[in-house]
Amino acid sequence: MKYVLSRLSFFIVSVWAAVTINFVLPRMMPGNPADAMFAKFQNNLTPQAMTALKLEFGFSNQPLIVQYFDYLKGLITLHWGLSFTYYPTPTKTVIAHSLPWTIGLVGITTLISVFLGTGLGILIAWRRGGALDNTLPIVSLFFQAAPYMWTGLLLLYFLSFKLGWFPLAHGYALSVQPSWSISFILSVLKHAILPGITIFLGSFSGWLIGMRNNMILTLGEDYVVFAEAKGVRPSRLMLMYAARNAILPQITSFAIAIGNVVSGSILTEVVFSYPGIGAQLQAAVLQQDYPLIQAAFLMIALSVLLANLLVDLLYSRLDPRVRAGGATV
Amino acid sequence: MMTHPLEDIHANEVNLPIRRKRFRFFRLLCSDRRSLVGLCLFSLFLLVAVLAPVIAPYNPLSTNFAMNLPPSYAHWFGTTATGQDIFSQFIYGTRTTLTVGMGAGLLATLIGLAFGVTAGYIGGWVDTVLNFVTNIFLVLPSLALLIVIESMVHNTTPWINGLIIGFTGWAWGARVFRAQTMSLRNREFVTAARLSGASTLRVMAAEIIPNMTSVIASNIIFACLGAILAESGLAFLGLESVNSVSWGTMLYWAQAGGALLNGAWYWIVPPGLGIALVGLSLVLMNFSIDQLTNPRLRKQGGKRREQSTARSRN
Amino acid sequence: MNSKWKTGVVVGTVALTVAALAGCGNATNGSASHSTSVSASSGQGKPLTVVPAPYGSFQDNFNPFQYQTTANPGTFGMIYEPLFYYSLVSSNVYSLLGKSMSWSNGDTTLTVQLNTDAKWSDGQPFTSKDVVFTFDLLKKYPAIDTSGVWTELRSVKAEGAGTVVFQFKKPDVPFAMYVVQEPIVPEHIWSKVGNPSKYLNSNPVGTGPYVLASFSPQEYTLKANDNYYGGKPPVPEVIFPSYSSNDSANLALAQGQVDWGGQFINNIQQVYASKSPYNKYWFPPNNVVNLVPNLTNSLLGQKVVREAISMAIDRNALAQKGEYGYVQVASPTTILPTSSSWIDPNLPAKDLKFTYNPSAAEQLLESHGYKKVNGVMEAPNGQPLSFNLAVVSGWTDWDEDAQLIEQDLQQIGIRVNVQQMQYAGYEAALQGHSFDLAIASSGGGPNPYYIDEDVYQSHGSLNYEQWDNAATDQAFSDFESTTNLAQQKQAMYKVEKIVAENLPTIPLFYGGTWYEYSTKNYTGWPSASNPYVSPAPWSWPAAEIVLMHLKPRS
Repeated sequence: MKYVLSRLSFFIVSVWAAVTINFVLPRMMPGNPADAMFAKFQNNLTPQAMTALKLEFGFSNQPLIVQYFDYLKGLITLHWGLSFTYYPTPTKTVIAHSLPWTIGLVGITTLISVFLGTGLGILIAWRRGGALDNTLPIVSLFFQAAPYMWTGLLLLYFLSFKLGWFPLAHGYALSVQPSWSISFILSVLKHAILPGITIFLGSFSGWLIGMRNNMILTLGEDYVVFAEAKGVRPSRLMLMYAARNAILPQITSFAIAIGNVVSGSILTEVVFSYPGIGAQLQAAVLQQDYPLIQAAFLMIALSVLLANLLVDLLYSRLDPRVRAGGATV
Repeated sequence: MMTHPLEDIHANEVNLPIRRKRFRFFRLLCSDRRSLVGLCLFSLFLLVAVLAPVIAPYNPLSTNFAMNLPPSYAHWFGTTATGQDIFSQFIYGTRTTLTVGMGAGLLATLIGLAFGVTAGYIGGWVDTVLNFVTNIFLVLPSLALLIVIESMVHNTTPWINGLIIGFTGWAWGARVFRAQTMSLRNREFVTAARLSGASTLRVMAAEIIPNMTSVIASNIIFACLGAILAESGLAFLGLESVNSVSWGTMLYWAQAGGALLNGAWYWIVPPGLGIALVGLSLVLMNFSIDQLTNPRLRKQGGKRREQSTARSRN
Repeated sequence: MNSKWKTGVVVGTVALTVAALAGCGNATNGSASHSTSVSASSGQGKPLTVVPAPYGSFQDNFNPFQYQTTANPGTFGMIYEPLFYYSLVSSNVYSLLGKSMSWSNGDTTLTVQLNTDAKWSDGQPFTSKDVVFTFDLLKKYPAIDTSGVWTELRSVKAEGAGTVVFQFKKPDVPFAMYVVQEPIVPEHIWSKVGNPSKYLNSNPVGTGPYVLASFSPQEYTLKANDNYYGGKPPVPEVIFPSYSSNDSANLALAQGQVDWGGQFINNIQQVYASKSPYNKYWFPPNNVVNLVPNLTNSLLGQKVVREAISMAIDRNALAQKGEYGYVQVASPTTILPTSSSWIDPNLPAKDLKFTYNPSAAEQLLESHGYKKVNGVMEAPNGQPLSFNLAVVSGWTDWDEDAQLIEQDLQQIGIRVNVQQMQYAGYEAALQGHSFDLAIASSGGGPNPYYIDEDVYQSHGSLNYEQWDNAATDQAFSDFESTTNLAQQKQAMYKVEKIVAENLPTIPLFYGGTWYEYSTKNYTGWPSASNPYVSPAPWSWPAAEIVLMHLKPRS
């Protein structure tokens, strides 16, 4: 219980930190957002149009501290301001349209990556020195070291543009209306395959090698050696004795992994014109759409923090030492 | 950006005399075939970076050539949509990318050391505060944070990007160093140094840090890899001065210049492959460092060890 | 970010912001040509996919007062319409909600007869009350008056259901174009929405040939308004998909997934046009890209220095390399090739075409007491000719042009230091006149007045160089106070001569309109041989006129 409370309080304070960073950073930005907006229209707006725009955006000259409390109040009451790019659409609408795509893409890909990586990690550790153990980690490391956008661009070029097997852009086909119909879901899946593979390739190696190394360490533990000597069946030894314990450290590295995957997702979404929040954040930065930058960053940070909290709580269920309140991370 | 393949790093060999350990480190690097390949590959890129002006046939920004040329004898990697020589860009890009990556990686490690060792050694409320800050930096999504910062400092050079990456990417190292320091803090040689009147700073610098070299080396490797990927990601998103020559900017221009549309795979492949190979060479080298910190992972050491190398995982 | 997209959107805005009312008599009735297509189409056509520019994703904003900024493409033109529209590539004036217009009262009163056949898509009739309401709205909410029509208007009144009278404060004939190109909204809906600048208008009700059929952030669809007063639209459905970058939109164009595009495409002949016999493109000129000297700089204020710079720049190289061969080099008159009837027939040959001659440029300077010292040209007072050149970083074609100019001027000993700036900084430098040299483009418009007035009138909004010349101002003023085309031409001749002889700016080339189209499903597109209207899909509301001219391929 103490553990859960400490995780919860950390979650709350880190959310506050993210919120505050979010407030401070854009206010340090030079340049006037209204001027930046004109970048889109080059220099062909008349001075009247500029004045009109500035009026529309209602710039405030209040002291920072007042702005900060207004900002906090706005956040809590879900008044996140209006997007410049989509004026006068509220940023929360823009976020609501894009966040589910990213959570779906990142969530499902991460699950596949975790299960496949962990499973294969167990296998190659068990068959240590085998052909798979000698090649798979190296191959996976190559893709981990390759930039997401590069993997994505190559997949897009060869499989979509050259061969036409996969769509070039979007989250679903243009002819399909969003609904819970089979055709829509199939279309979504088809559009998610290449971005998913890109993120998978970039994040798989961490799980694979992490699990492999944990397994090898665990296989050297006395209780495993003892069990082996006692004649426990190899498959049982592998899964019930070694893997079960080796898996716990995997969970704690989730915190880092999810951040990595989210970063990768931003780059991947841009390459595939995927309608997620990463592409939205990138577009907002290029348009200098400060309210949208803020909201997108906040939602990305919040999602990651929430994922971490969930994993921490899950970990406390799985690890008896933590459940007993003995250890803190 | 990057996860350590090995989350679990131990302090099991710290009692060895330092000199012998260093010697073993290099021997190990060369004895493991994968690490040797990594070392050679990395040295090759390093050499290219150092000798860039000698190797590159043309000025990487000069637009004097025909546009969209496929690879030929005169232009090994072809030319860009504005008539720049891609091979020359690749060579100079090696220099930028490696310098920024290594610089940012070292910077991140230094900051991580400062936070981690201080927190771990001094403990108490100092630890609470530093560890808290570390955890926050650890969980905030790094690229998203970098993008937000970049949108503030427009059009930065790769060097400034390196600085920003270094200042935001130290948290993982700090966490590892802190755990390491905590396990070293109560060893006899540290206690002895403390009792002989060495200052806190001296104990940290002379006793603790030298006894975690392999952990530091491993951290540098992953920090460098992370920095290279972060820098190239930012550049690709157009958040770095588009006139710099780095592998990331090359990818940005390849996309902006319609490389896919023109079938100019020769424009896209080299920069990404460069990053992947440099990254691979780094992690290959880390194989032997992993084995140093975790002897059980060593291939040769097939025998299972008996009783306990301090395997504390907190 | 990307210069191509920038140029793309620019011209769309230019259409309305900078254009003129010239020769009101020759209004083509937009609907006349529509009726021919009615029988041809009879609803058999295929959907048409349009990508005006890479929009990352859409939000359901169909507010016509924001068509220059954040409203979705198609809002103005396809759904909402103005009274009239002036083509930017021909002298055509299209009659939409207005039937005819006439000046009276010393060119201060404009009377517009309305097209009373028009109906709102909810079935309500369109009347003069809607027009008066719209202009009252613009007056009440300056935030939506982006053309500043109320700076020139005194009053707008209805005379019966079918006539509206615009009273101007003073004669300004060309300005009336802003007025008649305002989008008109229905009073029965907009009188209840409150502040129109904060209204998303997710369920638009307009008079145009299309109505909103479906919307999602990834794409939206407009379907034909079968009761359109101009006849049944030949294209039954128009789809607007989103793409996050130029590159992804171009890939879709090359694969034939997009019928009508407005993007810059590098190497277009090979990557697009050669892919299918139906793939076509046309890049008509729309504005003038100038090398703008700061005339308050003691050296650049000297005509001889500007002449030398102009002579030393290889404009063909700019057009071929920097602009990929898609544009034409500028003439000293600044008159677009599409407006050649406005060129003074009596101008000497040297004022009609620039010649590239670096050695003559050097001699010219030397004959005025300038001399080269260690490779750097110095003024008679010993001041070296060394200038900063401001461009926007990331607008790649201009960045490339700036590098070429730097190399050209280096040859005659003028040192140029290219400064690539973030747009906001660049804009601030130009507005505040804190630059030496800059690359900047003019606006566009249906005739040369709109292009030159902003740049050379002493209070022009794009007069970054600070050209302040009484004769120039007088010529513009002459133009504004007449509806007679011959007199307007005489006024422009004066401007042409002054500009060609004095080089207040150094024209480089004519900026292109990027426009790609597929004739696979539809024919009748604007083209070099049939330039009836501004062709780009971001040229609002011209896109409506293009759509109504299409014919399904049988």
